[in-house]
Amino acid sequence: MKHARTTFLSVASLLCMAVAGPLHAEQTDDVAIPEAAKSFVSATCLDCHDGPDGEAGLDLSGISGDLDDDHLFETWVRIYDRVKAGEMPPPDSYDTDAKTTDAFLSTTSDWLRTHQQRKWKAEGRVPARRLTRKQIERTLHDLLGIDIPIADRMPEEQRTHGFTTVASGQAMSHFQVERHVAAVDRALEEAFRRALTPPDRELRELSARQVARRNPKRRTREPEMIDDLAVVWSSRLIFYGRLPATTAKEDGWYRFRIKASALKAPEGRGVWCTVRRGPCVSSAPLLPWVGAFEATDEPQEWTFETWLPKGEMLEVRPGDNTLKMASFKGGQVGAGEGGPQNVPGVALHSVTMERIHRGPDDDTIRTILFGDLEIQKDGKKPATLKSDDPQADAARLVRTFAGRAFRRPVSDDEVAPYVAVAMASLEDGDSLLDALRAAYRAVLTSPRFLYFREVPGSLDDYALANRLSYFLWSRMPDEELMQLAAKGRLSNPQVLHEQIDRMLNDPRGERFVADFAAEWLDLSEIDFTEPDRRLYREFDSIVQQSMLDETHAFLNRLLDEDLSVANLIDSDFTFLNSRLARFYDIDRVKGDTLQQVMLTPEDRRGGVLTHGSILKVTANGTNTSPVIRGVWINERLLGVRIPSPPENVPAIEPDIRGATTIREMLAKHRSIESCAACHVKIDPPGFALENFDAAGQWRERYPLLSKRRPGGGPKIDPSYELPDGRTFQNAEEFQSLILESPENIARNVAEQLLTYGTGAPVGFADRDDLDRIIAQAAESDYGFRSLLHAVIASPVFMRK
Amino acid sequence: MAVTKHFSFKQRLSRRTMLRGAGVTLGIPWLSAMQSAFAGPAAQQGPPRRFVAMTLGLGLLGENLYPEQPGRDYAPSKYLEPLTDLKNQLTLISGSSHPGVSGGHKAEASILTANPAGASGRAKNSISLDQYMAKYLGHETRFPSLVLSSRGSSSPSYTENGAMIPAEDSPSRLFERLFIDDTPAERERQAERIREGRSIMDLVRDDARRLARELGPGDRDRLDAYFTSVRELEQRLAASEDWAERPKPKVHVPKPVDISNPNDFVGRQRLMSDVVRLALETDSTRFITYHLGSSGGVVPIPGVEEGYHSLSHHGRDDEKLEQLAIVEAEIIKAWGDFLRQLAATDERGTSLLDNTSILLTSNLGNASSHDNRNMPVVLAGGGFRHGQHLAFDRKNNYPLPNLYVSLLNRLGMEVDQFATSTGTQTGLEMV
Repeated sequence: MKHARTTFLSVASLLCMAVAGPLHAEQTDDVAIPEAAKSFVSATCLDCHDGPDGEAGLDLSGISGDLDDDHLFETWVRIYDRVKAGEMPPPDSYDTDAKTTDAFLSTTSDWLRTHQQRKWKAEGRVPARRLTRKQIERTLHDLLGIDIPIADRMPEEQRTHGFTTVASGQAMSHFQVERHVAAVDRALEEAFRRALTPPDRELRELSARQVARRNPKRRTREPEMIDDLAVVWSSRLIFYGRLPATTAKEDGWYRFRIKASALKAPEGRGVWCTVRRGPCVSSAPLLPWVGAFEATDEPQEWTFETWLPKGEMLEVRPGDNTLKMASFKGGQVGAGEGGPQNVPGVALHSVTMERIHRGPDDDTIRTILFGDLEIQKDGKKPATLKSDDPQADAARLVRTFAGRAFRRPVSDDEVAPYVAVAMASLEDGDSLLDALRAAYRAVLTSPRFLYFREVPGSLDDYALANRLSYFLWSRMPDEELMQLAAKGRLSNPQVLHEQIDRMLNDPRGERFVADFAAEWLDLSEIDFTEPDRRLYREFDSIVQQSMLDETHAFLNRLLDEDLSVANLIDSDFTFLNSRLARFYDIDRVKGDTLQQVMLTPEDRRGGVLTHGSILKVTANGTNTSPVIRGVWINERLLGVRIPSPPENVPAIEPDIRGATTIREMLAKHRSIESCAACHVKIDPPGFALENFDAAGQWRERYPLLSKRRPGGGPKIDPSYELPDGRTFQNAEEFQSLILESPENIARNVAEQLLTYGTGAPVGFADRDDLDRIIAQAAESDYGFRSLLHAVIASPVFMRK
Repeated sequence: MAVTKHFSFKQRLSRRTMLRGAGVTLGIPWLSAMQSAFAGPAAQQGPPRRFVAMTLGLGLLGENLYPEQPGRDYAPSKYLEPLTDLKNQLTLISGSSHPGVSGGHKAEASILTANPAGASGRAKNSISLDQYMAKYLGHETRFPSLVLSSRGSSSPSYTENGAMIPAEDSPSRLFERLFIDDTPAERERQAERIREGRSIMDLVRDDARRLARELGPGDRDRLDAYFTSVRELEQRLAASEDWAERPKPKVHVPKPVDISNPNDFVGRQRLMSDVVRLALETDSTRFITYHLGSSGGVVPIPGVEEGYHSLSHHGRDDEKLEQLAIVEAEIIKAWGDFLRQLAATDERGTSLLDNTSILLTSNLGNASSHDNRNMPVVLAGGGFRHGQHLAFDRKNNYPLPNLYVSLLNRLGMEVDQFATSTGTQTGLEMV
């Protein structure tokens, strides 16, 4: 990468560049720093930021104005921002006059904006973005009518600016292509299987006896029969409660109806149980989550749907860590060994298992793949397609399929190579079926399938339909969007508005919040660490799942009722079931369904900020760190971006010997000036939340880590001050201070939505548009849905 | 960033060219004329030369790793005490790092590329050492390279266009890929898929070109990456056509059972190391990276009570340093056991260790302060004159890419530059 480096202090070097050759002549204009900026920097900044040893590793003595260098552009934006915020030059050591500063700010702002606008005019703000693996999976589901999991077959994706949708960070290599082709093969195999073989049917109606152990004398991990019911006692024994009678003969989606009741339930509550799946043998210790229920004395029936690979079965057992546990010798349970230990249990009355499909039926899949061609099946021979003119039929079908897969009208030219695949296959003597399969495979490997097609400037209606659909649904545009695009009506503001509401209210829109929050709030990482069982005794997988459900339900409520995004910081309601409520020390919630609960100050909860999910993903399972939580809250909820520690300054190793609490350690750290600059922003939210432990529970004291004892350590002091000097005593006061500026919360949500939805972070030249979005949303008190509407209607979203 | 300057890759016949020339009946996977120009006479005579990189996400405490004395007469350090029997199979290099690379954890991306991409956000990454080797020498084996990790898909291995290669973290899945044959029907189906896949790759590649012309200039680079990826895949498919029909090697050990506890760092390391050894022994591949990434939880070893990552931020706290040393000593011990197993495996009169260069390193010289200088570097085996501590200036570091050039030369590749190297590794001689 060659960038003309120009020392702005030296006019001579500028001239040198200019005469160095015709190549540079043009660049000189581009790399020139505007006069007002140049003089401001040399008069105001150079005292400290001079040379390789400049403060914070920032050397402005040789800074160039070559804004085509992305890194340099960001440096200039940073200089601008810090001056604008009044943080630089340091107010206590410098007395700059307002007029010079204003001149610097307006000149620099124009300079940066104009440059970026010019660049975007030619290239757009989003470089060729491609579908993520989740989007590929759902698109293949839509295109082919299938329902099998596919995303896991493709490599994990990197998140850039927080999201896998951000184009500049999306990797591409032969590994990606290879896995993509393999995933496409699996999808086509499934679609052709569904189309050509008899429908998948299976129904097992299992009695208690049928799910229990066969031989009551053997010690096993299956339920035992007690009073005609299949019983599993509360215990830590792995796979105890496995039900071999539910073993899948084929990979597929299954619907289970489980009728169960509680045994020896603790006073006033039921027995919370987990439903998980797995081969339940020691070589495969992982048990993916299926669901949970709270069994009561009165038998009830629950329904769960799960993907169940061939050979896997269900495990149903009490899963509440606060229950008394039975112990069994030798890793097996003998009938009659659990009862005398007087622990709670679950009694299964019956289990029904039914194979299902999510999405279209087999007939629809046949139409998708073969149009109106008839399938001929003759005894045991493979099926064939009936066609009088295989060439013509293949050409027609491939064309239709490509049009859908490429998600915009296709010209003959575009589709010709894909039709040619089918023709070549037919010429080789392959059947029409095989020829179609080969051509579809090529279509689904095409860059036209994989990449968004956006041309610099305003998006055309098809590009808009795609961007919108992958934003709100993470799947391909449906028929209605495509028809509106064909008529050129989608970009009409009124139509667009109606479509957004239609899409969000559609069942497909229910996943928007979960998809977005999985990355925005790191909820996809909820099980990255497992809280230390000895320190966090009440935590279990039911609590964890309930925390996710809480946050999803909460965000959906904000969206559905257009409630202010200020609720992220504090709210007077949340969503709980009895298990999570008990974990939060809230005792007025009954039952296992998630329900809206009004909060009082004594509950000490309110806003996503205090959701267990957030408190957990911002801790490491053992302890909390105000720094990690602080950075996270700043960047994800408050909209304050914390820069990485300076690059060319050797990192300073804080000597924290002698400091006993995290507060003392950080105080020592902050005594170093270059650390303090960022830590005044990082630490306040971190300290405000110190009363919430690594599992999300309220605490008054730190745990005594060395003794593995909760609550044995020093008392927690959550008080602190904001960068502007306002002080708070606890989380509640911190929340109130933050809520004095709800527009900052809204601005952050808008930025996150734009980054996720367009595939590029909000740039300097987007700032005016962002201001307008916020101003517009202010009218609805920053309602989440209004904000989303404003985001989509903005030029940032409507242009490449 | 040019990886190499003075070498012509064209000295090797393109495999595609050969296949076209030889027609479809070509039965022998590789003719000697097609062997890379790198693989000189030496490579054809003796046992194959290999390279394994084990990379740590959280560094190693320099004071416990390095002896105080430079040279050959050093008293073993705390960590190397249990590896005393291996002294003459090891070289310690202190005071070296990748010039210009910073960014703390982000520099993980640079461990084997030596490219300052991770930190600056200015440039994209370049090819990693293992992939560079695999590119020119990887065709000899079923798997050109293996990219492994103890948890998650993060790896230090990067392709030429700077994309990270996702790692395999399950020893049992790796074992299946290496040693368990598909059914003949499945093999036939695979082979058919590969043939069909190659023709599709041709088509898609052409279409990517056409599409790039329809789009804006900003999109072209990225479609170019797609185009290149497709072409590379096509080349790989061509190579795997032959392997798809041949049975996999047999080993007389049962398939390993994966360890589910994500915090059992050393247990996972030992299990994966066992499969790595099998992969080398059966010549399934010659180039392996194994990333032991950062792990948040408490490593289940007596005396360790805090999470590994949090311990690495010890801040010179005695208690933390002590616990961290327990974890790191166990890692080194497990590594030593791996070396001993290779040393005990006979290969035509030499040992597997003699023919395999094994590098243990990390992007972090000091995890507590996220410092990327003074990287921990230990080299074992591979046929070098070991038994010494090469001590360089800890204030003004020696360029580590020089070692990478020496490792390339050891494989018979006559390159004189890798990334920011300035020569070959000072003080390190081949046997």
